[in-house]
Amino acid sequence: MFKKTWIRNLLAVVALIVVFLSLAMNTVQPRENLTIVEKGLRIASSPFQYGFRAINESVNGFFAYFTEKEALQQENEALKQQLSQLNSELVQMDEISMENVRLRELLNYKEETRGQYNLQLAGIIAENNTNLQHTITLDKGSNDGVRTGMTVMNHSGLIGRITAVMPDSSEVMLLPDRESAIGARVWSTREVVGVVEGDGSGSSNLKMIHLPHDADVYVGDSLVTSGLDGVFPGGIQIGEIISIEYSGNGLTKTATVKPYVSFNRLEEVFVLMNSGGGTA
Amino acid sequence: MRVVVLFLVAFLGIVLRDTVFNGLSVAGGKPDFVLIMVVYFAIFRGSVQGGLLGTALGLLEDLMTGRFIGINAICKGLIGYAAGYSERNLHKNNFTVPMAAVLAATFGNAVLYFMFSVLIGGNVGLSTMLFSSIPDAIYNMCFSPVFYAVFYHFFMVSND
Repeated sequence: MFKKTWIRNLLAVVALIVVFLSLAMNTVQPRENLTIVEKGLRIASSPFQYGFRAINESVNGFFAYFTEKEALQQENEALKQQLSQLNSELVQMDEISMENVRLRELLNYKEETRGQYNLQLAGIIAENNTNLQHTITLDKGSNDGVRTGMTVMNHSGLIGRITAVMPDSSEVMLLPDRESAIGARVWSTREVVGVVEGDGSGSSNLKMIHLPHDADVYVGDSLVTSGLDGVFPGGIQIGEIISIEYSGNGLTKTATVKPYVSFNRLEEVFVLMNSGGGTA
Repeated sequence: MRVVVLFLVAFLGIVLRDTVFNGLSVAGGKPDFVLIMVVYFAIFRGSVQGGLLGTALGLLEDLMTGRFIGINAICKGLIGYAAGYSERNLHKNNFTVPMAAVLAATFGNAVLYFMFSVLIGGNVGLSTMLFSSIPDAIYNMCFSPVFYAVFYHFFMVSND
């Protein structure tokens, strides 16, 4: 009995295999049309496929949060580095742009004063601005023809004079230095002369001292070098009077002068090569 | 009624496998819900019914997604028939053995699919087939406790 059932099952299995195998062989070749059953099942499954696809996208989005988080963090780091680099480049570009403006102004000034001044462009390689002294070091020295006593200026006005010269560098005493003194005159009248010196307060302002109490000096007047001190050539702009004070005995008055040159923003300067050069 | 439910679940299982689990496939592996159902149905109902359900659900799979109509019907039918032999011998309260049965069935199904594909002129490598069925097998084993619990409830608890 058991053997009969087993044989019957075996035959049924073999028959099914033969049937489905022949069915499969008939469908091996590409078919132009699906059967009605296939079409019906696929049509019936399509709404579910759309629904599940929506779920799938949500699930993928959920897991993508975790899988993409690391990649996003790395990308974020890379972008930060890139931003930092670009910022650095932008600063450099700004520096170059500002340098370009300064150099153009200096070049224009050099062109305007051609024949009058023999100007040598110099860069600043060090600064020493304290209450006691205001000096800068230039990248031009005796090898470039620089001598002590030469005038240093830029397109805005007088800066100072060379006080020490090395082969490849030189030191400039700036106008605000307490040891600095310049013969000056009021540009508009060209009559009043005096001495302009550093006020020794640590600021960049200057003072014009020993002015007679009745001198025609007013706030807003411009000062230029007088040329009478034998150090600086005449006619170089110094600054503008911003206040005037009478001395205690009332016989003299002192003017506070704001220099035209911004001493805290110096980048490049001119050395006036045909000015009071002394020893190298 | 149970057969209708089984067909509906198999229908949804096939759609799920090709939609949701496409996005959740691990190393190209996807769960084969039809196979799990056939194995567990056979474990509770024996070789003949297991074989018949396997053939029917395999045919459904072929008709819904298959290119060669009949291959899945043969493979799932034979798997169901073979799994049904464990009906009397298997200790059904132990959940680990059915999991092992699903694991074996996954590889068995791969071998059968390879054999019948070759017979009809298919171009599938056995090693490729077996290798690619490893993630399938792991996926199937992960889902098998849930299916087994449901089948156990339907065929053991409900019949008490």
